[in-house]
Order: sequence, then C-alpha cells, then structure tokens
Amino acid sequence: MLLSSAATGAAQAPASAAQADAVARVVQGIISYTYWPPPPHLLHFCIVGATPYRQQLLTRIRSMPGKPIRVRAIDSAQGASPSGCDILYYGAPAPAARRPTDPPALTISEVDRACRGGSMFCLKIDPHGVSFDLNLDAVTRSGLRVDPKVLMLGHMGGAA
Amino acid sequence: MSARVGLRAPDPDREGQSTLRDVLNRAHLRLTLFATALAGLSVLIAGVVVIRTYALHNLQLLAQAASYTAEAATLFDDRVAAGEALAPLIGTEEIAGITLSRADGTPLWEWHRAHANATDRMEDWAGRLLFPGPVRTPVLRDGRAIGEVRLRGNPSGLLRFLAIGTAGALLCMALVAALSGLLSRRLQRAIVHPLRNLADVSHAVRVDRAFDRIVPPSSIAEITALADDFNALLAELRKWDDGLRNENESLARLAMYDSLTGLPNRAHFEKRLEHAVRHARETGGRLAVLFLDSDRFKAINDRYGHAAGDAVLIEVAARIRARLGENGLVARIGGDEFAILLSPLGSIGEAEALIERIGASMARPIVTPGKASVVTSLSIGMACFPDPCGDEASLLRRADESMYRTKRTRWRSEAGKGSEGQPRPGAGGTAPCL
Repeated sequence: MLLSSAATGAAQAPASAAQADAVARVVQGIISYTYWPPPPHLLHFCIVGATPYRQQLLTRIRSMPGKPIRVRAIDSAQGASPSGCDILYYGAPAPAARRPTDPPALTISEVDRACRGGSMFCLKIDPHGVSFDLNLDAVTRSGLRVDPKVLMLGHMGGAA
Repeated sequence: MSARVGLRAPDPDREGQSTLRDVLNRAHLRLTLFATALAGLSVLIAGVVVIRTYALHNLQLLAQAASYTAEAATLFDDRVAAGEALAPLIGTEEIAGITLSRADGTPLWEWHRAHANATDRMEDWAGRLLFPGPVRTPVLRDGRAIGEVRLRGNPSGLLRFLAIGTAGALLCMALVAALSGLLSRRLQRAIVHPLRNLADVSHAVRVDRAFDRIVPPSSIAEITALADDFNALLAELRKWDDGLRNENESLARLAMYDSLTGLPNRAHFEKRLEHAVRHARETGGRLAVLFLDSDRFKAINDRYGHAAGDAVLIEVAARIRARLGENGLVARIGGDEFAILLSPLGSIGEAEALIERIGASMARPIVTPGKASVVTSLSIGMACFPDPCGDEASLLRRADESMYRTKRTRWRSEAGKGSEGQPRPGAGGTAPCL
C-alpha cells in the first residue's frame, strides 16, 4: 500500500493541497447529486487502487452532511468490481474489466481521461482546476439516478 | 364705440391694468396646468413605485432561477459551467450586473453591463438611485448555502416609462392649456359681452345723452342685477334730464319773451329782424318795421296806478296781435313801446292799411282792474327794407324816428287847436328820408 502510493507519487506530479482539495470537492459533489434506488442507511465508499488525493478524499467524504459514509480501501488485486461498495473510486492503476455490481455502485475514475473504461464519472485533473466527464451509457446501465444538473454539467464539461 | 375699445385694449394711460379676458385666461391656465401637473406627477410617482416593486420582484425571481441553474456549477466550482448557466440572463434587459460568489464570498463568475456612452452612465447612475442594493439570493445545496447570486437591476425600462410618462403629461398639459383657452374664451363671452353692453350704454348716455337705451339682461345673475340697477338709474337720470330741459326751456322763454304781455322781447325781435333782413336780401323781398308808442301811458299809470297801466299794456298788445296777419310779428321792446315786423311785405300799402287798423282798434275804451275806463292811442312810425335812405342796421332806429316825427306833428296840431279832445290815432305813414 505504501509502496503503491509511493510508486503513484513518483509516477504522477506531486499533488498540491489545493488540487487535492478540488478533487475531493468534485467527488463530494458527484456523490451529493447521485441517488440510490433504495436509499441505503450507510454508503460504502471504496477506493480501488492508489490515489494521491486519498487524505483529502477521506476528510471530505467523512464530513459530508446528511449522508453517513463508511470508507474502505480495496486492493486493486481484488478485482475491478468488489461487492458491498456503493461508491467505487478508481485510482492507479486503471482497472481492466468491470461488471455490474450488486448493489449498484457509483463509479468514479481519476485515471481515465478519455472516459471509455466503463466508469460513470471520469475526473480531469489539470493544474488550473478539476472537471469531469461522464459516460452516459455507464450512467444508464448503473441503475442509479444522477441529477440532470450534473449530467448537463458533465456533458458540457466533456464537450468543453 | 370708444367704450368697446376701452374694454378690448387698455388705454395707454391705464398701462399695468389687464383686460378681463387676460385675467380669466391666466387664472384658467394656471389652475389647469397646476392640476394637470399634479395629476401627472402623482401618476408618474405611483407608476414608478409600482413598476419598481414589480422590477424588484422580477429580479428576485431571476436571482432564484440563477441560483438554481448555477447550483451544480457552484458546487463543482466550475467557472466555465457557471458562465454557461448564467449567460442567458445577460440578454435580460432588467439586469445590469450578475455576480455569482462562492460561500467564502470570492466571486466565481460575474458580468456587468458595459457603460459605453453617457446615456449608459446616466442609466447606471439612475439604477443605483432606484435600486440601491443588489438583489441577493443564496445558492443552496442540501439546505446549505454554497454561494450567492447578486443581481443589480437595470433601470432602462423604468426610465423609458418615466420618459413616456413625462412626454404624455406634457402633451396633456398642452392639450389642457388649449382647452382652457377655449373655455376661458367662452366664459369671457358670457361675462365680457354683457359688460360691454353696459359700457356701450353708459357711453351712449354720456356722449349722446341717449337715456332711452336699455342694458339687455345677461345669463349671469349678478350682471343682470347690475344691469337692472343701471337701467333704473338711467330712468332716474332721464327724468332729471327732462326736468332740467323743461327748466331750461322756461328760462329760454323768459329770456325771449316779455312776461307781462307774453309778446317777444326786444332781443327776440332783433334776432327775428336780422333773419328777416337776411332772407329779404337773399330773395329780393321787402319788409317793414313799425314802431309803436302809447301816447298816454304815463298819464294812465300816474292816475290809475301800475295795475291799470299793466292792464292797458296787455290789452294794447292783444289788440295789436289780433290785427296782425301771418307775416306779422309784434314785440314789446320797451315800457310802452312796441315794434312790428312785417315780412315778407307785399306793398307799402299793406303796411299803411295795418297802421290804420291798429290805430282804429285803440278807439274802444279799456276797462282797468279798478273799473276805470280809459282810452289810449298809439303813435306809429315805419321804416322799410330795402330803402335808399338807410341800411338794414338802422331799420328800428329809423322807424323810431319816424314815430317821433308823427308824435311831434300831432302835438303841434293839438296845441294849435288848444282843445283837450280825444287824440286821434295817428300814423307816420311813409316817412320821408331825413
């Protein structure tokens, strides 16, 4: 885990605190605009792989108002679709294949800029800010309801 | 007619005075303009208040819509998305500026209407005056404020209303001014016309003494009352004037006639003589003047008293008058002296016949108030016109002299007889030239 994190850190540019915070905020926003068909009492937030924004993500996600969330770290060796997760956040390395999960999960990837890997939301992290793209097919297949405001924003963001 | 002029245009020496029409016009104009301005102003103010309320309400709604559409962009801190969400509002005329700020107050996206020219700057200034602060609406996510939308109102709609309203009010004022002119002209006709009648009549009375003029009644009660009083005053004036005229006539009569005998006096006779001479000269006619003097008047006066003398004079006058024809005029020109003007005179013989008749008429005794019976006689002289012996100015004098010659002749003949018999009526006859 530590190794992986170090490897990621070496591979990518060191994350500034502001950028990490921006990523965490966007993820938090996506979660807040997503609705699970039976609203679960507790959301399981699973981080798959390694991410330089882990610390800020954990801090932000835990402090989200109105939505109790439990955070789990999952080794990428366990596969791309671990069970029991309501939110799957993919860090490095990019996962290979993905199956529909049970229960349906919100999938966010920080390592799929083209957004073709099957994740619903793909973060685009640039030095001047963080935006996201979304995969409408994945959103439709997921069985979750995503607020149209975010759909439009993601679509526009993707177009931009 | 100068009265009309006086009413229409002020006399030069009455400068500073204005005509009734001007006064009416001014009063009307002031009142109507004031009323219209007041009404227009209150409508404008009410309109501005109402429109401003609606504009604020509209801004509130727009701000709410903006906060809704910009919610996700604010949450994701996406400047581009925020701009795209709020851009449609830029086209809205009511908005002068939009600011979308984050929860910490730093602006995420903003837009302000550009002030290209003086009009825009004035609009901006007016906007700050009419909408002192921006409309603020929080951007909420899960009941939490994640940002704020601030909209500044654009007053151009309100300014347009003000401009149109002011123009409308001014138009109304112009219309009302014209109408008030018409109205005051009607009112003026109702007031000034009867007043002018009054002025005309008083002028006619003053200049032509036309007391029979009457001021016609008017449609205004006060003026009719004034006209009635004026008419009554006119009637009194007329009565007074008639009295004065009668008195004047009687005075004139006194001046022209002898009060005792009722005959014309000397002044009257001379005037008539003058006319007759002029007429005779113009027409080539002739005339005669007889001078008559009572021979025994003084004696009768002394013996029987003045009342008897007066009675004799009255009777003598009446007898002479009775003998005169259409062309004769007898006047008393002195105490017991009478004169007769015969004009036109047909012939000398006609005058001599008259002298004969008058002399004969004195033969009958006159009964005095004291029951005395007196007999008088007349000495008569005559002068003619035209006459080679003298001009017309000396006619009366020559007749007088002729009479004295007659009288002297009679005295001499009576003294020669030495008798006290009745004096025979004598006549000067045709007196020769002296």
